[in-house]
Amino acid sequence: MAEKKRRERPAFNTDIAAAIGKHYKDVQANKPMAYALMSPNPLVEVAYAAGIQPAFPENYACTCAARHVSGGYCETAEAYNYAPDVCSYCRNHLGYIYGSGESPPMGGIGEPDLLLLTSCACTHYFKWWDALHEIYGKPLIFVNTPRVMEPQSEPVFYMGYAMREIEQAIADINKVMGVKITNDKLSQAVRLSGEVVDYWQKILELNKAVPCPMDLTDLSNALFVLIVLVGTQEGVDLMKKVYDETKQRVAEGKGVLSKEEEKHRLLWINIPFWYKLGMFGRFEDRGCVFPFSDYTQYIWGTTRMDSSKPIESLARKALEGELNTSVDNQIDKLLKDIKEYRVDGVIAHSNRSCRILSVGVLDAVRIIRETLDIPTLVLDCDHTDERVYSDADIMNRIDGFLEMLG
Amino acid sequence: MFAGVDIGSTSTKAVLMSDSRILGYHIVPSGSNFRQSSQVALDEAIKKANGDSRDIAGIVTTGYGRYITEMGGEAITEITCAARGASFLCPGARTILDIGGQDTKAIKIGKGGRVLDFALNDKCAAGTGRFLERIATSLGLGLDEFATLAVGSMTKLPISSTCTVFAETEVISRISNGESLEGIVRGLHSALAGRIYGLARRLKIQEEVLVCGGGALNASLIRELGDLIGDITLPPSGTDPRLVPAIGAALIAKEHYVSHPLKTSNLP
Repeated sequence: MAEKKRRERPAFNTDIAAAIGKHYKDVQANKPMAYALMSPNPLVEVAYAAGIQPAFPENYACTCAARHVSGGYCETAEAYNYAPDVCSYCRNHLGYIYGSGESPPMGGIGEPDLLLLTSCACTHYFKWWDALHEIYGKPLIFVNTPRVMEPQSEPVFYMGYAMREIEQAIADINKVMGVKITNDKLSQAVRLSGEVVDYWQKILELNKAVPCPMDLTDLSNALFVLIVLVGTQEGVDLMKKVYDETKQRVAEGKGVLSKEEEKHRLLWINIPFWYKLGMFGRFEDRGCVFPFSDYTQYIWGTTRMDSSKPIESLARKALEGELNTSVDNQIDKLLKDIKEYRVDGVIAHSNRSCRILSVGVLDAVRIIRETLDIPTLVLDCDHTDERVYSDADIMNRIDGFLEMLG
Repeated sequence: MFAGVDIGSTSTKAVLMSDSRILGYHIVPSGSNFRQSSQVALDEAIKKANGDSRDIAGIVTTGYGRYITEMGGEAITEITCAARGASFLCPGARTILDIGGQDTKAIKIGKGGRVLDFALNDKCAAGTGRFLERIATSLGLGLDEFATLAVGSMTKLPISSTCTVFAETEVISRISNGESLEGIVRGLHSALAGRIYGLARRLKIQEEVLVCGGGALNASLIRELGDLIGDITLPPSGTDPRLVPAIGAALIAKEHYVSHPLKTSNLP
């Protein structure tokens, strides 16, 4: 069934779209340029402090998916022996490199001069970055961080270890790129990053309002700022715009749906289908909004930054993200936020090629259902590889779930 | 009277009901023209009910083809409709296993057929009726003959249920090794039952368990499921188990007509 026309989105989405366009122009024009892992990577602020332009292959995969070219890129990567169950962000990027056509989305993300990797994401990203190292022959800087199972009982030496890793990475970047990252520049980047995070945390708080001022699509768009522009004044200005508008919407009682229309507040677990964000219009038509998602809430923008302690702040950022903590810890956060955001239904994406975010999803769903007695739905699909998506199957499950919600 | 039309991947079912009584029904293969097959099914059901299309006060369409038919009325998923139909036929049912050609649904229901939770097989034929259909066809057997072979077998040869195509290869390999066809066919039914049982366990199976859909016509599959689940209920004798969602659809059409009489059927 065709989705109805989307409602008017908050105006900041237009500013973010413009910033995305500018980012890809910067990536193509600015030198030196580094590929950076998107997951809470402490080296993003370091890159900006060094005057290095970061580019994000995972973020680019989202753009490719939204332009419906990811399936083709994944297919190309598979022809180069990357199995279909390898992360589709990775396959998208390698397919783009190996088989990019004449006009890749946004002009492509060019060839890097440096590769910035961190361990606080998926382990198989190491092999992706190994491949990039081999393809481009450029230096690979790697920050290793211990996995924090329970944040409340994190061993004290973890912080020292992570800080030493970052200090070593900074020294290596200075050496291989011939730059000098000063304390002042690093403190400034961390300060700007902290300002983005502070605005973001206030935005998440505002989104508890009824009616909900921002939906998952808006939150996902705002993630661009939180991932790509942390450490820049541009990022601060943009996130302030998002905050100001959201605050205004709450003050005016303006929501994605009106208070009368908003019947259900749902939680989306895992990465959305980037090639099918329009599907959220179907939920809106049925009186449903998504005030939060684990993906937009727990991975980025979780760490308050202190510019007087830049290395410690960056180490904390790397240690605290959801991808670096235990499933139990994630479930505890979900149970708390489901209550605070007044969520009355859960849709979980069991993501075929993103195992780090999917192992534990079925347990999370079961525990939520048993603890809070709210309806749940699990969708088997993929975040980037559109070939896995089956409209009839997915929509049938969603329709059944919406009928169950009433 | 009220109509429920279930346009499934394999067959299209139309049911006409009045005062909670089935007046007529008809089942046709869905084929590739869902508009035509749903119209034929409905017309034939009307004939069997000795009725007239103008007597239909409300209609609900369900199944994967529910949106493309031009019958008007409301489109509701077969999850909701199967739950409603099952509860009507078997008020004590709390777990429904609807085994269809394209998918298998496990539905947990409360009183009155309210859906509490559901799970569908993942995107693979291995947990559905298509699993048996495909292998029966490759062996040159009809589905009835296929099921009968398994019922008579004392042995059960294990077959992988991971993938229909791989299972087919395994069957061919076992046949070429001279293994008993009956044992192989029973093994296939057992493999499918195992998949369905795994799906149902996600919901924590609650008694009474009603099995419906085309799969409920297969005695061998029911036996294998019974070995895993325990007591199984089938729709009352005389009611084709494939009709359960269409019955639910007709009942919902009536309920919606009563609550919103002006919003239901677009039929003349």
